[in-house]
This record gives sequence, structure tokens and C-alpha cells, in this order.
Amino acid sequence: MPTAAAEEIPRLTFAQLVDAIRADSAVTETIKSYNGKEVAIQGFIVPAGPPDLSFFLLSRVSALGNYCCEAPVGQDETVYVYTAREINITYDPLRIFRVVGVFEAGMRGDAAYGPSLFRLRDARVEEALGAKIFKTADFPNPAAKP
Amino acid sequence: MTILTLAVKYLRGRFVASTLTAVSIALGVSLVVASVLLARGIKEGFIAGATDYNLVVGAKGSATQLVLGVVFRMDLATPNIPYTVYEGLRQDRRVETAVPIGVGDAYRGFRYVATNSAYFSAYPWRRKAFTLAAGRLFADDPAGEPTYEALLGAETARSTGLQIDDRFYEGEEMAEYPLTVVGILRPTHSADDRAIFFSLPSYWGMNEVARGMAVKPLTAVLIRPKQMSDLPSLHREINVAPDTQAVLPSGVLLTIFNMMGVAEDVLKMILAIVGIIVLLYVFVSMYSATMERRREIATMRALGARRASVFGIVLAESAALATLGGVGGIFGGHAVAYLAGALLGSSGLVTNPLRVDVFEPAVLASVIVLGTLAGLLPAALAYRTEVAENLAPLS
Repeated sequence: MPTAAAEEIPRLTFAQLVDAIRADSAVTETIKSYNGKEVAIQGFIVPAGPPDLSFFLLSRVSALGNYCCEAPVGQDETVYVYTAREINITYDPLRIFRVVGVFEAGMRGDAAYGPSLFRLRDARVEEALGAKIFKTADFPNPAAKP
Repeated sequence: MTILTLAVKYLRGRFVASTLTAVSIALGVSLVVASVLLARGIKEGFIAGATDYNLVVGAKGSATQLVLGVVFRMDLATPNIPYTVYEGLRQDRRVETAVPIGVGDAYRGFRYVATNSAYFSAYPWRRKAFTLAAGRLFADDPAGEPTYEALLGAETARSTGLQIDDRFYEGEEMAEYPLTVVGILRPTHSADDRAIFFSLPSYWGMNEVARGMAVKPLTAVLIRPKQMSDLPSLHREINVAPDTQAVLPSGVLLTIFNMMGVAEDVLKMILAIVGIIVLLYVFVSMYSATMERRREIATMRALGARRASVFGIVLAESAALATLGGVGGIFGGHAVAYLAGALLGSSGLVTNPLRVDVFEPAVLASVIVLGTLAGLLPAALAYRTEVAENLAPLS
């Protein structure tokens, strides 16, 4: 059962991150207002760094679903995650995880992992069973058909 | 006499039984400590030996075989891919560095690894640094003009005794193409310590089939993208191609860790059962000792010893046994881990089995607390010993 503190952490979606750099500056400012604050983002883990998961990518699309769903995405739908301590999870490339960490938006370089647009620092990982990360607009409601 | 000195005297009084109890505790603790150290060492060995490259590209097949073969050299090499795959990736605008790898046979068990000088280059993103202990790197010789120069990993040089300018080969068919040692690397604490590196033209020149091929073969290509966010698209594109697969090496290792986790859970259950058996043994030992000396305890009570003192003596005995067994077990566990590490050393996975951290004090404290608790009932029995009942004539 989620704790009261966990419920208070705002959740950002990949749709919001994409909109942040495609829409007007007001939306960008909205996303930037989360800078330095703890947020939760749900997505697929792409183990792009060392196997201790001290660094990994959080992506809207699974890295290993070769024949499924959507094409892999770029900077705007990828969050670079830096974890604070050892991550103890059962890794599953086809499972959605909820990641909580201190949010940073804006292009920045990193000697080890290159440039990134969105980052989560001091992050911790929680499993997120049954979480939906797709934009609801992507799925037309069958009940709405005439 | 203090409670502790009395407890020690009692333990020495039944030396064989006390020693056997302490040894039983030590064996149980050794088993726990060695299991934990080895499991941790193997996992850390995999992490330390992991490649700094983010993608391994090879032939279609097992992703685990590709990573174990190319990065850890613990499996047979996957089938070949054409050199053109490397050329295509090198020119891809998303790729910062592409390194070709050809995994060959072995000399006295040390694998041949063909590559170019980029494999040893220092980049800001690399954790691993290659430095020379002696000599130089092999030459990046042009295709068709192999120099057959070899660069040895630290463990290869130590085990084989090969030195600079030594020429070597293994197998009659290789006699025409002996390799010459031109350099020896310092230890990297990875599979590279047990490799023999040379150039790709030398690799192709040594193989009769490869000599006749227009497009030369490779085992794999290591990739570092310019932007990490390009990794999923590179991965997908290479995987949907008919002849190649791309693997995230950390993904494969995490899958191996998942499988190890299942084995660790089973091991934890077995260790818990061992712990319970050892505690029962301590309990039975202390219970028997207390029952045997009820008359002695009654005499002590008759001479003025308080109930609390008698209770304390029995508890101190079991605590002393647990401490002895716990300390012995921690030393024994480290010794077993060290020996097992030496046996597994050829894989290079077990790292620093002699390391001591917060785990050992925690184990010792747990053993002392649980061992003392196992003596609680016998101590209560001693506490309740009635003087009159137990000093009655034996006949």
C-alpha cells in the first residue's frame, strides 16, 4: 500500500515532457518549475550504464520489444536516471517501473553519459504494476463509436 | 571468582563437549559467511568486469552467449558477422566509438582477442584504463600485411611466463604463424587480464578460411553512442536486421543476477535451516550440561550462591561458546571463500574474498545473541534448581 508521503510526490508523464519542449514557453516553465523537486516518473528501464544500475535510462518505450508497439524515442522521451544507492530490483525489460528522484530539466552535458534533456538524481526505483504510461489520446475509446 | 571465570572453568571441565559445540557453531557460521562472500564476490566480479561500451553487436543467437563470450570470454564465441557491419556502424552519425572484436582460439587456455588500438584508448567515459607494464601496443597493421604482434594481459603473462620478444603458438597448424610478444598490460581486474590481444589482419592471416574471404569476419562490435538516448533506436535497428543482434551488456548481466537471486533465495533457506540445527545443538549441549550438574549447582546454592549467579553462569557459558564459534566461523568462512576464489580464479569473477565490512560484526553479534538465547532455558532450569531436592543422598 502506498504511503501518504509517496502519494504527495507529483507524477510527471512522458506526454508532459514531450509537450514541454514542443509547446509554448508557458508549458516549458511549468516543467521547469519541477526543477530541484522530487517527482515520480513511470517508464521502462533501459540499462545503458553499469549493471549496478547507478545510471540508467527511463524510456516511454521498452528497449527490448523489437517487434512490438512504437519505435524507440529520443531525448524528449528519455529520462537519464542517476541513483543514490544500490538498486535492488528484479530487472525486467518489459515491465514498467516507477522511479522517484530529484528532477532536472534542460540540456546538460555529462562526461560519463553525454548530453541529456531530462534527469532524475538521487533516484530510487519502485515496481509499478499495471501502470499506464501511454497518452490516453493514443487509444480511441471503443465505447465512443456511434 | 566472577561469573565469567566460573563459566570458563565449567567449559574447560567438559573440554571435548565444549569444543564440539564451538566447532559446530563455527561450521554453521563458516557456511553462511562463505556463501554470502562468494555470492557477493561473483556479482561484484561481474560488475567490475563489465564493459564500458553500451551495446554489443554480434550475430543472431543467444544474447547471453554474446556477452559472456565477447566481454567475459567465458563461453564459445557466437558466429561471425561481416566486417561491413563494423564499417556501417563506424559511419553511423549516432555512434561515437565502434570497436571491432574477433574472438579466436586460445593459447594454454588464454583466449585470442583480435581488435584495434581503439580498444585500449582512454575516453572520459571509460572506467577502465589500460596501462603497459612492459613493451608497447601491437601495431594497427594494414589488411593483408599482418605483423603477428601480441599484447598479453597481466594474468596471461604471469601464468605462461611469456616475456617481450618471445614467440609462441599452439597447435601444429599455427606453427607457420607464431605470435611475437611486444607488450604486457598491467592488471585491469577483468577478463582482459587473461587475454592475448593482436590485430585483426593477424587474426585473419592465421585462419585459412578468413584468408580467402573477400569480406573479412568479425565476432562483434562494441558501441558507444554519442547520446545515450539513441541507444534504444540503435538497438532496435540492429535487432530487426536479419543477420545481427544488439545487446545491452548490463541488461544481460541483470538477467543473470535475477537467476542468481533465485539460487540465493534457495541458499538462504538452506542456511536458515543450518542455523536452526546449530542453535538446537547449542541448546541440547547446554541442557545436558545443566542436567548433569544439578547436584553441583545445588551445592553452590547451599554454599550461598544466589539464583541469579547460577543463571548468569549458564548464560555466560553459552555466550562464550557462541563467541568462540562465531569468531572461528568468520575466520573459517573467509578461508573457504579465499580457497573457492582461488579455484574460481580462472574465471576472474571472485573479487576480494578477504574483505571485511559491516557484515561480519553483524553476523558475530547475531550468533552471540542467538547462542545466548539458546542457553536461556537451561539457565532458567539452573535458576530453579532446588537445593534440598538435589542434595538428597544418591542412594
